[in-house]
Formats: sequence, C-alpha cells, structure tokens
Amino acid sequence: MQIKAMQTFHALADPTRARIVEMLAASGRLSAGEICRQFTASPPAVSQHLKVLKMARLVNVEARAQTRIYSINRDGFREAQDWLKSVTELWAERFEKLDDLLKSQQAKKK
Amino acid sequence: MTTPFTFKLARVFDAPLDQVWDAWTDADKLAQWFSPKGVRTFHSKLDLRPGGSYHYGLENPDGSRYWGRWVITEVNPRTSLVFIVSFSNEKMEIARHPMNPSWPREILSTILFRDMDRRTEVEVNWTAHNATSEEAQVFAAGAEGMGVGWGGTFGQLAEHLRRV
Repeated sequence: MQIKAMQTFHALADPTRARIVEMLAASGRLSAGEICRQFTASPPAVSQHLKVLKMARLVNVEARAQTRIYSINRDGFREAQDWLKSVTELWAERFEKLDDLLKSQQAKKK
Repeated sequence: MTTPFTFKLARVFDAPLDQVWDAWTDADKLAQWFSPKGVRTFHSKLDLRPGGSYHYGLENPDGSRYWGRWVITEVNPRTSLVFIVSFSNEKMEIARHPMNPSWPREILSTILFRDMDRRTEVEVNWTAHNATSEEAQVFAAGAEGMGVGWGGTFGQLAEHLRRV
C-alpha cells in the first residue's frame, strides 16, 4: 500500500493517535483491548484511530485468536523520517542559494 | 476532509522585501536558486498570474534531466504566492518524482513574505494536494482535534524542522 509521508504525519497530528503511538513506543506490543482501556472514547472510535495508524503504516497488527496485537511499524516511521529529512535538506539548499543570490545583489549595489 | 498535515519552515533573509519577492517572481533569478544543490536549471519559464505557471527543466551533475512545474493559483505582490508544485515533463504534463515514487504527486505551496525592516522573512507551507481516494480515506478518518500532540516518539521528527 502506497501511503505518502505527508499522510503519515497527518495521521500523527491527532492527539489520540499520537498517544497510541507513544504507548506502543513505550510498551512494545499492546492488544486492542489494552489500548482501548487507556481512553474514554468508545472502542469503535479507538478502533478507527488504530485503522488510520495502520493505513498510514505507523503500526503493525497481528491477529492472535480473538485478539489483535499492535506494535510500531519501524519501516513506516523510517520512510516518514527520510521524507522529512529530504524535504528539509532540499529547502536548506534552496535557501542557501537564494541567500547567496541576494547577497551578491546587495554587494553589486554597494 | 480535515486540515491536512502541513510542512512549514521559515527563514529570514538579509535583504529587503522587494528584492526577495523579485527573486521568487523572476524566471532568470529563480533559475539561479530554486534547483537543488549541484543541479543546473536549463529551462525556466514563468507566467506570473493566477492560472499561470512556472515550468522548469533541471539537469543533474550526471547529465540526466527532469522537469517540474508550478500551477499558480494566487499572486499577492510582496505578500504571498500560492501554487501547486509537481514533477513534470517537457510538455508541462504532471509526472511522478523520478527518484521517489512515494513523493506526493502534487504539493500545495503557500509562500508568505514578511517585511522585517530591511530584512525579509519567507515562510514555506507545503500540504499534499489531490490525495487519491485511499489517501483521502486516511485523511477523512478521525476528523477531530488536528494539529497538536507533537511529542515523544515524533519529537525527533519535529527536530528536523527546527534545524533548518
């Protein structure tokens, strides 16, 4: 599934989903039930958040008997991080060149 | 549809607003800085007006070439510039990122200019534009409370932004 990095960040920009990711980062693996118990929101609402996180490739899910076990999807995080790094570098390079251009124009005026 | 994630960064340039605006809105000047480092601009054509476009051709150090385009939606002189940026071809048709297919196909770019008394702040905002239905599904789910909660695991992601 091709989900783009910007959508990954979009998925993270929700407080409930951010909290779920933090819980999984701290605990390693949690069942859907364990995650739901941490929230006052209804289980279907939390379940929807988990679905979004899975689609954004931020969490992995494995089914065990009647239980779904969630964990952090490190590949998804790495892709998002790589994307952010490349965008940030691109703009740093552009702005460096813009800065040079503006400085050379200033120098000509003097 | 909820407010999508926006990549935002700002920088203050030691030049007056007129000069910075000119560097963003003159094809010859854009050709001097808008390409990534080490990449030469061999084509730069700008039609600066809402509905207009900027079409540019870039050449990598190894000689390989690629194209990009802006479709300009708003021009507010010395204040803001809004355009949809995408990779392109020589006919100015939309294309995928040549190296990275997961790069968003179209990015809504809002560039804000602020006069700071002989210095100028430029703020770049990037938002994914025209998501596919699959992506739109991700967007649409969980509509409540956007934009907060940067901490913990992804604090380090935000850290990248601060370094620029």
